[in-house]
Amino acid sequence: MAQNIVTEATPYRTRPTMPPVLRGFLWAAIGFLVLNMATIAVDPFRGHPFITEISAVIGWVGGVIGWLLGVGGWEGVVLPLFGVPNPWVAAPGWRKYLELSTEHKVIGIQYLISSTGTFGIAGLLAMGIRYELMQPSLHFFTYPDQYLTAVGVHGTLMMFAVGTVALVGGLGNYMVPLMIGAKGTVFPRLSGIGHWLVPAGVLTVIFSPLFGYWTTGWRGYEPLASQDPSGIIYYYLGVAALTLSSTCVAVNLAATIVFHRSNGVTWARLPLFVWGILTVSLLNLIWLPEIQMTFVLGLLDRLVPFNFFDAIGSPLNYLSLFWLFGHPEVYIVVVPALALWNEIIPVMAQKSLFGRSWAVIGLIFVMMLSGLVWAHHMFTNMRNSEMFPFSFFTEMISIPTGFSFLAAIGTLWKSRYRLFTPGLLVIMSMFNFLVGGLTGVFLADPPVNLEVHNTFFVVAHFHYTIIGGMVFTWVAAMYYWIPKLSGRMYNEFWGKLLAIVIFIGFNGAFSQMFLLGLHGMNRWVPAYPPYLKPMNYEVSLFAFLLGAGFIGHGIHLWWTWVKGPVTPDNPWNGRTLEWLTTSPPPPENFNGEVLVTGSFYRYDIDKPAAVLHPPE
Amino acid sequence: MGVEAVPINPRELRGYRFGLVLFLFTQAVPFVVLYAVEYYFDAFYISPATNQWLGAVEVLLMILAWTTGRSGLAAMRHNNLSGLISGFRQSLVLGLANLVVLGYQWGTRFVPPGTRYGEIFYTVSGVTGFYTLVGLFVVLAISIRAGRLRFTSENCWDAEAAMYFVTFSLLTNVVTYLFLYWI
Amino acid sequence: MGEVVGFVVVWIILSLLAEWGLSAVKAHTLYDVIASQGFLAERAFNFLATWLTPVFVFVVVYLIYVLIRFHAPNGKPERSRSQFIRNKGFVAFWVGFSFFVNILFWLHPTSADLEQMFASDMPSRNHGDLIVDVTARQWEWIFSYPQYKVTQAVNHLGEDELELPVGRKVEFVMRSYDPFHTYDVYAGVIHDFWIPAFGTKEDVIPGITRYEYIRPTVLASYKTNPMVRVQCAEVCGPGHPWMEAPVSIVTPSHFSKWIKHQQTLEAHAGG
Repeated sequence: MAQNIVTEATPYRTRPTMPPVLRGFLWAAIGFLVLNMATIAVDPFRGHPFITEISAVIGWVGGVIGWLLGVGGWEGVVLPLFGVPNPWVAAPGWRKYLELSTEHKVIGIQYLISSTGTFGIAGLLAMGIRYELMQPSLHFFTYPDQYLTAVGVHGTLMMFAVGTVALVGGLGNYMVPLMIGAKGTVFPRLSGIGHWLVPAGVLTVIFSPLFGYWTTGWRGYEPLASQDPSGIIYYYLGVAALTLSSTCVAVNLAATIVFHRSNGVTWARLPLFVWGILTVSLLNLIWLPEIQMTFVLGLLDRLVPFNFFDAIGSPLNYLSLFWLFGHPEVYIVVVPALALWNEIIPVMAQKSLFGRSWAVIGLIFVMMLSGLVWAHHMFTNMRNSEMFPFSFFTEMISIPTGFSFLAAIGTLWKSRYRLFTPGLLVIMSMFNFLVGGLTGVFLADPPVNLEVHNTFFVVAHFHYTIIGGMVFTWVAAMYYWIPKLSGRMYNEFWGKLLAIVIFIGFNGAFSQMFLLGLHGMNRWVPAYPPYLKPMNYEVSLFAFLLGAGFIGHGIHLWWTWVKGPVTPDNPWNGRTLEWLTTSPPPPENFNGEVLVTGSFYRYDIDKPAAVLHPPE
Repeated sequence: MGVEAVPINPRELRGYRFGLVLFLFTQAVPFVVLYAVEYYFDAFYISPATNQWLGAVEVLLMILAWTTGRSGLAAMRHNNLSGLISGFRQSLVLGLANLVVLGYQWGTRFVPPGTRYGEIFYTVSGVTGFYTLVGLFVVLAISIRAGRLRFTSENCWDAEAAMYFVTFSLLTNVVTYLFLYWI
Repeated sequence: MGEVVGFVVVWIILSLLAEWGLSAVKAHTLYDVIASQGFLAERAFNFLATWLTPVFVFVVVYLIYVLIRFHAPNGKPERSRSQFIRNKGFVAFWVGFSFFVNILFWLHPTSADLEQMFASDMPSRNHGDLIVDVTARQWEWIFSYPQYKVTQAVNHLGEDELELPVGRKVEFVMRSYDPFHTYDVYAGVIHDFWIPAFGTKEDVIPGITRYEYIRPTVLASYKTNPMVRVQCAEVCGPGHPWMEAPVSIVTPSHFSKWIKHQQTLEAHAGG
């Protein structure tokens, strides 16, 4: 909004008195205390403790505002909003990642770092969960609610701070402007402030157990949530911050894709990943505000208290409102991954993309159908007559999802597929997502669903789609683009070895969970009948292997970023626009004007898809 | 200040407009949720305890706030900066008056909060009031910014943007009024 | 063309092998099933598996085929000689098959089975059912047999227990509330009434009375088969994993003896 300011003097940097992140924490503490005490001051019921549930909510708002202002929002957003120029210029070196930035590449890296860190924390929780499940009784966690909280925090963080964020806020922010030949985004400040909501939300969710263990898992089912200790409040608030962040990304990237495409990037030429981000942004824009308001209602149910979702309200209403968002959410997670397959495969295969329009139509129809299937999560509690439409749409949504396979399979036929790590991981991801998708067909059939719903069969199914589909593709995309992000190349041996490790760990762990579910293992249990122990024990061993593999990938990518051998600008011989510029790209993305004259996915044409006219 | 406004190129301007409208459309979603919940629990029931007059006054104030803001923006199109600022400031005061009336209604608790209708009433009017407050903050910020940056008729996107917010507040106020007091 | 034929032959052979493997385990895809609804679910499961096996084999064989036949041996960027971007036959096959198979699945098993399920729920089909009132509270299943004036069936340890006669249709009437805290509106949460061996489950929702109709057809007991248990399947707080109760499917004569025993117990309760 504050784009139209120019400063006459050369920009100067007033040194902040302390590092922005540190100042963010300090201001957050101040913000919390001020609003907390203000709430206590008007509390009509004296004699409460210093922090009550209501003051914790209002104080949290103050804390988040303080945090956002502290990391640079005061200088970067608030002052310009009131017409005062921003006294800061971007910090040099690595410090620029630790303050508010308006450069989409910096923001993208910030999102990736936040997401990766969260993935590590939530993954560690998963290891704790699996360690607990090695024995049929409580032996690692002391109380069952600790286990349930671990499950809830794991799920919440993975969905809202990794699944929704890594490919969209992270790679989307970094790559989309590059891939459409833009020099920046439409709302850089919005996007910059958006990132810093992620650490705020993540910390809120991580520390929520300090206010009491909450037991609902990532879905916050009512009326259980109303009955839980106060920790559940910080689940609502953490999710609010994280979803707000994704909303910022969605507005910014959607507007950027529509208005900042360079000359020649027509809709017919728009890269697939950009299509993926555009469809996902629309999903985000519709459904994230929906879940935010649902959580506000849940919060009011608890704080006032109202009776929207308990026995004298309607628990089913909450379930519907939750899944109305919740099912599109899983497509928010996987649609960019499906798009990435067909971004990476043609480059690795050096072969023209097969059926491009089918791949795009698939993404769009998945987006449109995703809002019509939510109640298949509720076959166990819906009216009989409602089963028909929801099972119908659920079965139908596999058709457009299949179009991504159609395009990938057509492209691979008779190609010269280069089995570099990204290529290998994409193939693995296709296999995993195939398993996830086909087991989804079983779940779409209500009689089968009624047996396996809420069992480990479902746990396995969605981990196959989310880890197998999205996380594997995320790792593939990191290897594919790390030369662009850093100008350096990873080590092929380690990349492939670690890819095989996570493939074995993943399939070993989650394929057996299907059998566990069919054999009577239900979800959210720190203890289970002893006959299920042997397979659970094996699952845990494979899960530890998977965890170790992810840590290995993290270390390897970090090593690449810092020490990897320097690589040319276009190591894969790709045709999309991000390969047209230097690695890493300059601040303005391209040294000159981009003109696109051909298709990005035609490898039968020798002429490059675009030319870069150097500045006069 | 060492700062001056420069014209935005038309393509960029279209991007801003599109983005902001998109954002406001998404912010209609929470209201759809609220109205749906209202319909679910209350259908067409209106509590006889509601004060119809105060509800109408709230909407009237919001309409006035929108009108004055609009006239401020019209003045800006004729390069009348002080007209813009005074229009926005009046709009701000009228909007605050709307919130004061809402606060009075809450304070007196004409509608008992422990009832089905009461839950809906406080939730829906509270969320509407919150969005109104955000809109007023934007109006305040832009009225200050307009003076500092010396907006011109070619370069007053920010004022236009503020009016988008006020329009959104007006719409939500009207629809909320209809749902809470009429249907 | 030769390449296509070769691939299709491999695909068909491996699909047939996979179908043969599937048929070997078909009787146990849901492990142990002992009730009408469970057999319905197992048949549906097997039907879907039969159709999806060739699909699964197609993609897997294809991916392996790519890794073997179509990889660039030295990793050098090398363009393939065939650079087609469309193939009407393949697209028509893929899209047509996916429409066909999904519509098929919705008609059968989904719609056909649902009609059968709903029909068995109709009041006209349910005269003389054994009625069992199921009350879910945190964290206990309470089973009452109103036709026999048994308010809470328990075993010799005083634990709740569900016993059903084989071959007789049962109507479960399920409610979620706490009989000991009826004044607390937050005390009722969503539970899920699941007997794994019955092959179905249903949520028990506060404020709503729900029904499930089922006919156990095999003698079974928790003592010999742990899938014959009532297990809460919807998270309901820290006691969730232990919200379970043993189930026995017994002969009618054994059942009437058991009911008499329960009546005797209740007659002397509190005495």
